[in-house]
Amino acid sequence: MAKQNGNHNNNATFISGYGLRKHFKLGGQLVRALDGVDVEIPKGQFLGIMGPSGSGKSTLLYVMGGLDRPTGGEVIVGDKYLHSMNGEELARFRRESIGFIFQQFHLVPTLTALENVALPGVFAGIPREVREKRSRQLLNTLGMGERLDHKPSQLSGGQQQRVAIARALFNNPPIIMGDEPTGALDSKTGETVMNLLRWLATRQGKTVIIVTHDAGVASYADRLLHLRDGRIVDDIPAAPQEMENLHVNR
Amino acid sequence: MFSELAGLAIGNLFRARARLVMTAGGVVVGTSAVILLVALTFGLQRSAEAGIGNSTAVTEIQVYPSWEIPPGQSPEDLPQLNLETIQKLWRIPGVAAVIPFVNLQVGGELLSGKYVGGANIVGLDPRLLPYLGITLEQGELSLQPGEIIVGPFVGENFYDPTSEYYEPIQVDVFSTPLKFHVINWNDGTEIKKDIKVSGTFASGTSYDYTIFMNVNDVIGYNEWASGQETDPDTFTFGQVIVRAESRETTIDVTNAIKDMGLNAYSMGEFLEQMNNFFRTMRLILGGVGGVALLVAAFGVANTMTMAILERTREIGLMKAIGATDRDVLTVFLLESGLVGLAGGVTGVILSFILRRVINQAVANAPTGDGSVTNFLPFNTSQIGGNLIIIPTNLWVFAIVLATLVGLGAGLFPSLRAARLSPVIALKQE
Repeated sequence: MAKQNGNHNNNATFISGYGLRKHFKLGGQLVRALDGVDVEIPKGQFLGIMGPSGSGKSTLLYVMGGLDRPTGGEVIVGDKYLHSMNGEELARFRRESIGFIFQQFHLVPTLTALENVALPGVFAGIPREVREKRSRQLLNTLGMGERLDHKPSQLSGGQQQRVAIARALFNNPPIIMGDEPTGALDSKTGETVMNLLRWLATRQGKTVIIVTHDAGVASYADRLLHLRDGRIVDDIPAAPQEMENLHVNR
Repeated sequence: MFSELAGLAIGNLFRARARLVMTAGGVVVGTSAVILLVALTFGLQRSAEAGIGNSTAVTEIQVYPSWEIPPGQSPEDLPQLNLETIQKLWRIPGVAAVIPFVNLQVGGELLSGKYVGGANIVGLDPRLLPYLGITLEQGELSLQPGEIIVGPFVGENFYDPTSEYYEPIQVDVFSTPLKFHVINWNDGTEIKKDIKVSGTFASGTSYDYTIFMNVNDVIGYNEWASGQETDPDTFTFGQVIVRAESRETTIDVTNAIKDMGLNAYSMGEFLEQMNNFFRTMRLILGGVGGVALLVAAFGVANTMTMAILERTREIGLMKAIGATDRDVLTVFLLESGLVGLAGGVTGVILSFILRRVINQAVANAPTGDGSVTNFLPFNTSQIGGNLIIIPTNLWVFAIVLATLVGLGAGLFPSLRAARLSPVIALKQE
C-alpha cells in the first residue's frame, strides 16, 4: 500500500523546518502567520496541511517551497538550506525541486495547453522542440492528449487543473505542492485530481504536500498537519480505511 | 536561454495587438519627426553648399605672407612666399598641389585693333594648370611661351582709349588676333608682341578677370623691366594657391599653413562655419522631434505599467515555476524594447515614404515670378528634388534611439515586476 510505502518504509527526512516564524505587520498590527513551527517530512509522503483560514497553512507551504522567506527558523530540503539562499538560488531551487499547483490554476490565458505546460522549460533554457515534446508526453499521460492546442478558456476546471499538474511535473521535480488544488473544482473532478496526486506519490515517489480545508480531500493523505494561529496543533497519520478511496485508474 | 525569453516576450506582445499598435504608433510619429526634421537640415545644407560654387572652390586655399610679427621676432623671421616656403607647403599632408603665381611687375594690356583690354596678369607653371580648378570653354589647357589662357570676363571689358566716354566693348578674344603690350614705366620703353589665346574658361572661379601666362614669359618681362637677373635666393611669389586633396583635408591643411606663420584663407573655413550653423540647427530640430519621441516614451511606460498590473498573477506564476528576477526583468524589458524597435522601424519606413512625397512635390513645384516657391527660404532649382535627405546613419541612429527609448521607458515598470513578491503576486485578484 501507498501508506506503508510513504510513511513507514522510508523514514529518512527529506524536508524539514525548525522554529519557523513568519511575522509581518499588517495595518499596524503584528501578524504571526507562522509562530514556531517544527516539521519533518520523509521522501514520498503525501502530506495534507489543514486549518482555518489565517492559520498559516499556505504560508508554511510557500516557506517550504522556497517561494516565501520565513522571518525566523530554518528550512532544509535534501541538502539545501533554503533560509541562507539568495533570490537567484531560490528560483533555481523552485525550478528544479518544486512543482506548484494552485486553486486558481494560474494558467496563462493566451497560451495553449501545450505552451502552458512547457512554460517552466522557457526559464530552464530548454529548446522549443524539446519543450513541446516533453509537454505533449505529459499531457498525453494525464489524458489531455486531445486538447493540446486548447486555450485555458476552452477547458473545464478539471482539465485546466490537469494542465497545471502537467506543468508542475515538467521539470520532473521530486516535490509537488498544491495550495487548495481542488478548491475551485466540483467534488467529482476534485476526486480525479486527488487520485492523480495520490498516484504521483505512490507510483512515482513524489513527495506531495497539499493545503486544504476539505476533510474529504485530506483523506487521500498519508499524514495530516493541523495548524491554528501559526502553530501545529495536531500531527496525525490518516485513518487507514480512508485510503480505500484510492483509485488508480490510469 | 535569451532566445527562449525573447520568444515569450514576442508572444506576449501579440496578446494585446490594438494596444501594441497604438503604443508603437507614438514611437512611429516621434521617430519620423526626428528623421524628417534632421533630414531637412541635410537638404538645406546641401542647397546652401550648391550656392557656394563648384566643388573645386572648396579645396582651394589662398596663402599670403603674414603681416603680424610674433612677439620676440623680427620682420625678417616671417616666412616669405619664396621657393623654400613652396617646398615646405608641398610636404604638408593632404596637399594635392601648390600653385605659386608670379605677378607681372610692369604694366601689361591686351590690344585688339584700337581697343585695349586690361586684366590681372599672372605667371603660372603650365604643369600646375590641371590643379587650378578651371573648366575650359574653348581651346585647350596649354601655356606654351607666347600663349595665354583668358578668364571669362576679360573679353567683355575692352574699351576704346580714344573715346571721350568709357564704354565696355566686347571682343571675342579666342578668334580675334591680339597683341600683348608691355610698358616699362621706369623709362617709358614698351614692347608689343603677338600673343595667342590657347583657351578660355568658364566663370564661377575667383579668376574671372585673370589672364594666365607662362611663368617664364612673366619673369622675362620682369627682368626686362628691372634690368636684373632673377635671384632665386631672394625671389618671392605674389600669391600662392594650395589645392587640398579633398574637402575633408582642407581645414587641416589650412591650419598647418597658419602654423607655418603664413596667412591662409579657404572657402573651407566658411564652409566650416556654415556646417556649424547647420549642426546647431540639426540639434534644435532633432530636439523638437525628440520631444515627440519623449511623449511616446511616456506612452510606452504607461502601457508597460498597465501590462504589469494586469499580469501580476502571471508574474507570480513565472517566479513559482522557476523564473528568476532577472528572467522577469528580461521578458518585460524585451517587450518594451521591441515596442520601441517596431515603432522605430515603422517610423523609418514612414519617413522614406514622406521623403518621396515631399521631394517630388518640391521638384514639381512651379518656379518663376509669382509662384509660391519664391516665398521658400531656399532655391528649389538648387534643391533639385532633394529637400529631404536621409543618410544611412540617420535612420540607423533613429532605430537605435527608438529602441533605447522603449527600453528606457520600460525600465522602471520592468524593475517593479521583477521585484514583486511571488506570494503576494499570486494572491492578486
